[in-house]
Amino acid sequence: MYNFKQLIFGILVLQTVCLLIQGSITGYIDSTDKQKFLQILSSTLDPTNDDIASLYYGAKGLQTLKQEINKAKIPELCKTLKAKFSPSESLENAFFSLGTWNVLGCQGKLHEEKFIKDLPSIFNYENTPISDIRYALEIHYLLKYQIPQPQNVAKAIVNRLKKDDSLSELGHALHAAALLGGEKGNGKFGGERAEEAIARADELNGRLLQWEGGLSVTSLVLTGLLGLQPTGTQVPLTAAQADKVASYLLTRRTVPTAKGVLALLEAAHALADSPFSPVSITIKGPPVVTSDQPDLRVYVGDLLGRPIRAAAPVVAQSATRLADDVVVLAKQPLVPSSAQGEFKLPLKLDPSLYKIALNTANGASASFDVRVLGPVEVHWLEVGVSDADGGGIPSQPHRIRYPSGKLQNRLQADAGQRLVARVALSRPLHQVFMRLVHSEVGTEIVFVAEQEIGGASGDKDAKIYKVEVNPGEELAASGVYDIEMILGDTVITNPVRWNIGQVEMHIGNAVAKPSKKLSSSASSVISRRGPKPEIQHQFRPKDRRPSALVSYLFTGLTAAPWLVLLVLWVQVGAGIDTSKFHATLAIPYHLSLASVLGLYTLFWLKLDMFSTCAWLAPLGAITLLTGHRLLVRLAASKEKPEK
Amino acid sequence: MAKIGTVISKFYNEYISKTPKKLKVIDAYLLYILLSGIVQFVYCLLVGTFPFNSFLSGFICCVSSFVLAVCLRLQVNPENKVHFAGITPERAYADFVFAHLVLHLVVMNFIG
Repeated sequence: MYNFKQLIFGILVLQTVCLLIQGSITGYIDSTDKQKFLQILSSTLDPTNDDIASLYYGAKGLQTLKQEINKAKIPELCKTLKAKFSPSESLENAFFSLGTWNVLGCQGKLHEEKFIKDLPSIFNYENTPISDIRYALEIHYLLKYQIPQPQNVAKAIVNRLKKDDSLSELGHALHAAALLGGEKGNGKFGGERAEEAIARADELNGRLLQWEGGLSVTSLVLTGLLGLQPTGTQVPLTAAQADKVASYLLTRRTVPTAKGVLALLEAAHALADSPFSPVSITIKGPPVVTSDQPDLRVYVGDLLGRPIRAAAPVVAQSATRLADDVVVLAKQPLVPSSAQGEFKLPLKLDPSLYKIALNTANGASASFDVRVLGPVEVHWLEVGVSDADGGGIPSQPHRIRYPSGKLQNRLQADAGQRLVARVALSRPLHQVFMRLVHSEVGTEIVFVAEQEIGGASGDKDAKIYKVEVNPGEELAASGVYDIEMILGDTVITNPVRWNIGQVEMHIGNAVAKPSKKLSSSASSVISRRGPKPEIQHQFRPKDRRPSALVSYLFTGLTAAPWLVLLVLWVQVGAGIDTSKFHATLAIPYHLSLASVLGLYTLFWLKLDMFSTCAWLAPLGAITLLTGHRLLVRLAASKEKPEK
Repeated sequence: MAKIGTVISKFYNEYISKTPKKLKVIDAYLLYILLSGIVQFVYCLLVGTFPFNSFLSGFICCVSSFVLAVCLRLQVNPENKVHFAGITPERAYADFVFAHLVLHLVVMNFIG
């Protein structure tokens, strides 16, 4: 019963702790990112650039980064702005021109009074997009003019939102609400729409939060929402949502355009300066410490990498070894480092993988997987040859010292014997291998060493690994092999490759030397892992043709019956009956028939069906006519004698 | 055996004496076509059918020519006049020529 009560109490405590602790983000916009942004923005801010919008992105972006604009460029830029200023074309461009003019601090006035006087007329149009209304308001704000009849403008925006409530229009409406004074002024609709805007955000993988339309829309809506905050509007953004938006912004650090950079910077600044500012807890450098440098450097700051005062002290709640879930460290405060916002956690732990949970004083928490590396010591290594029935213990093992030790003489082993190596290490490792490389042909074979349990040895702490090779079964060829020990692990600082000598194997009848000699292990790696040989497409090979002699012989044979025909016709007495011969018809007829057959031959040899048909039509017609006339005449002459 | 000899010789004599000259000419032509076809078939058996479309067109050309010639012979034969009352030998010959023109066009197209 007591235990049960304790359990309930424990769960309640745990829940409270969970509620108090908020998450955090990893990473921030660091100096490399800023350098890259600076480069993109500076290259956009060029007097020869025709695009007013990108000039604005460049100038505004540099201002956001608090960077000086090259003074030599400014007069030229102002000249370009003056030349390109055409407010009648688009209100957006007018705002960009005026905004750039303002950021650059150009002398004089860009606009004429008439432009400002005419500006309020756009509020009265039914179809003015909210973006234009917002830009008109921005221009008023920028040039420090009073907005005429702000309650009517607010009404126009609300009406317009009923028709088109796309995310970008909503974002512009939020900006306009802030410009109209928010909750205290005429921008009350902003507060009503803020909740909707947050609800319309999309979550990606439960980790990121963005508004559909990418970085520019996300930035537009986010800056609009956060801009409402100072005007007394309650923005119902939760800390978890702010963290996810910040994580999304961090994923977009690679944005290559000036527009994207400005959107990212504005959003990041708005978020970092708001009460929702996420805490960034980041490990500087790789999450690896060694026994020489045991300090884990942790950076705690905001999204822009600025240190947060309220974050100190930072406490490592726990460090858990992942292998066996043992907590090795609890409630250890981190040491503030000389650099602001940076903390150090000395991890003097056994080499392994650890999960470190960190808490900051202002309630943010994060956990990281950290590797603690340490060296491994090789106490000794024994190698020898044992008989098959010797229980795997060599009669005369050779003991070798690390790291310079080597076998004095070449070992000799045959198919009935075993090559046995034992190595004593200061701690267990994942990878203990023995590699045998044939010294002539370069074939290699790797054996895995097993840890001996309760091995009899001098020093009790040593971990002993043993590998046993049966040459008769496990090796393909006789010859001299180089023996190499390989020791590796994810958490050691000194991985080992140690050539300990040679062994000569006599495998009797199993001498099968690979025919191909490999010049080096590198070439064998290329042949195994490199590109495959190019595949040549092969057409089906042509059937074998008979020899020319056979072909000619059969051509002759096939033609030979023609002679038989001639002979037979002569015997029968066939000939031209001159009495019925009509030269005027018979000659053209036979000529045209012959020409048709000749045309067929040409068709076979070179013509195509179309040209053949084109020729065949007239020839066929002539043949038909002459043939018809001839046969009519023949039939008539046959009938005459009967009459 | 002797009987078969007499049958053959009688048949031959009858053929020589009674068959009109025109039919003999056609028969010689038929024999020629037959021999050509046989030679091609022997080639196919001995050497192979490659290229198959050439062999087919040659062989089929022989077979169809033979069939057409047999048709011509039937229609021209005076003894069959009863069966082909409306068809004069000239008409039969014209059909024969026309059929051959079509046949050879197809054969040339197929021979490759």
